[in-house]
Amino acid sequence: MTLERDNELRQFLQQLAESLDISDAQYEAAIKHYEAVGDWLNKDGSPIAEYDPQIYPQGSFRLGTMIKPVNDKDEYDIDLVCELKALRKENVTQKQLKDMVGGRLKENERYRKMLKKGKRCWTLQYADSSRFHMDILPAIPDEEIDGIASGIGINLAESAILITDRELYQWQRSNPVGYAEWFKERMRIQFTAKRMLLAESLRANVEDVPEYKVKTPLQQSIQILKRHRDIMFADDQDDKPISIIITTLAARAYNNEADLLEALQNIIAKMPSLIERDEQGNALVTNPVNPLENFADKWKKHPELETKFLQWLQQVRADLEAALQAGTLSDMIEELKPRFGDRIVNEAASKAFPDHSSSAKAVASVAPSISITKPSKPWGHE
Amino acid sequence: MSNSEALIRRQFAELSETYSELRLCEDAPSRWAIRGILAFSATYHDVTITDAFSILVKLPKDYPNSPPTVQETGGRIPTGFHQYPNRTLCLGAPVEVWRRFKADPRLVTFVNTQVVEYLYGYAYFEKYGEMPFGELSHGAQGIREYYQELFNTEDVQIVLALLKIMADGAYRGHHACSCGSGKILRKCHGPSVLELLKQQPKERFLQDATNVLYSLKESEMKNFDWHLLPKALKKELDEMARERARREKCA
Repeated sequence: MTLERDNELRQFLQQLAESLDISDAQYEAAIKHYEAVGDWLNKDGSPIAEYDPQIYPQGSFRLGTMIKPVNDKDEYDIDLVCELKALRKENVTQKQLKDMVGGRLKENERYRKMLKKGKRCWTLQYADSSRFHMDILPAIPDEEIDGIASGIGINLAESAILITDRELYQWQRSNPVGYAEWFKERMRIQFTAKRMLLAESLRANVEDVPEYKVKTPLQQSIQILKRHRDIMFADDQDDKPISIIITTLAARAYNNEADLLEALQNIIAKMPSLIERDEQGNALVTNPVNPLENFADKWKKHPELETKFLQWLQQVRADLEAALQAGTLSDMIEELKPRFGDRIVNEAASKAFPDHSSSAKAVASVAPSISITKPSKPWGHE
Repeated sequence: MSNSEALIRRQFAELSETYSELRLCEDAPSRWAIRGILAFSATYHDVTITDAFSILVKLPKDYPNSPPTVQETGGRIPTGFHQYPNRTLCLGAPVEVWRRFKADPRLVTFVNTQVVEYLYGYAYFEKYGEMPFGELSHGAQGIREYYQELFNTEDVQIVLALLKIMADGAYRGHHACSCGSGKILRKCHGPSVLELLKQQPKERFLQDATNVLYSLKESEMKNFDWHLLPKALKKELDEMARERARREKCA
């Protein structure tokens, strides 16, 4: 490995992560949209206003680990919780809760047209150029979870919620805010440092720099890993490692490295050893804010999922290694293309190495010249 | 080295003479795949397109008895564009993909023709918003269109009659051709029927006959001649009918 490649890969990964991230404008548009939904739920005359509805993001949008879809035509999926803070499970059934939230959304002419019913959540399909939809998951507070007894701490337990299962039959525990707090804690040193640097460069107060503008090497590593996974499992959706396992293990592995390449290499190396075992030897990836929940519970019935997960990590490691071993910068870029996708690699490479012209042109000049005579018509499966 | 490995290596060497950016990988024992950049320059009706795609060509275990499958791995071709749910490219109606592969079962021919044509088609579509060679409808209707074109007839009953011969494995060259031309099969639709029959398992034609049946419109169902059902399908339907009758009796 040359020092040259090492530096080039650093620059490239930095640009790759930025290219994968959704833009500030998209973040802001999404926030504006869901705050408008929140206003509508709380407005005078809203039948559910008395239950103090609060709408907030969960999942990758909240964690800052969202990535662009592989295909331009695919949509961003923003996950939201609509928590009726003043409601208790003794006073409402799962179906009532879902209908209350949906009912109020339907009272708005615009939302009614955009609304789709899911098994657990309501989906708002935004038709504009932003190409995203929002999944709104109705929830109520979970008062029974004991922060001390469960070992997760009182603060994190406060944000626990109850959501319905897919059959609208049972309450299930969740705690997306608690999870996000845990995640942030895992990268606190870098988060604070990056936010301060950003504030300085924007000549703003630290508190005035929106959190979504700060990206730590942990968040960027997760974004890069997710993209690699999306490409590698493009034709094997059933075995695709799920984001929550990647995110949890990566956050556990992260040592607040300031450098993205170092962070990524460390995370990949450590992730397998962070998969724990129960007494029967089953894999455990516990939810840090709900020790009873095992994110890897499906691996028990489908052991191939664990094998594929480990194979995938091995592949990421090998791919980074191959990039570092590449003879030239062009070779390195070509090495990375099939792993992360041509277009995003071209985009990141042209930003990281503006003086380097892609080798695609050189390839094309030696490409065979084919004359098409009797082509097949493409067909499509239904 | 097994025979099939030797054949694959030989074919790959031939392929990489033209396409130097492709690599041969053994993903698992006797699971062969070809990865890398496919750069080409192709011309159709005076329009030349020069382009490059990242592709993954998977060779089936019984290669070269069945054709390879292809995926575009650069994330350039959107899911809605002629692909199977598993992102394998729909190069054409399956029967046609087989037919063309079997005519010259070599990697270099397969890539030069079917793969390059598909990618040319996509690049053309990206540029001009239309398909250069036309396209088949999705699903059953597309299969029907394929056979209508192959047998050169609009009459779906003729398509079904010929497919029944193929699915039943009941080809007799001296029988009258089902198209009603008055000629014997051998001198009429026989050759195109035989070419497919020699290459492909008859289950394919049973499946395609089923597809064509699916595509029938209500008006076509009305005067449908039930004798055109392939035997295996008829047996299955009879079995279902008997099963239902039994159950109704019990209830």
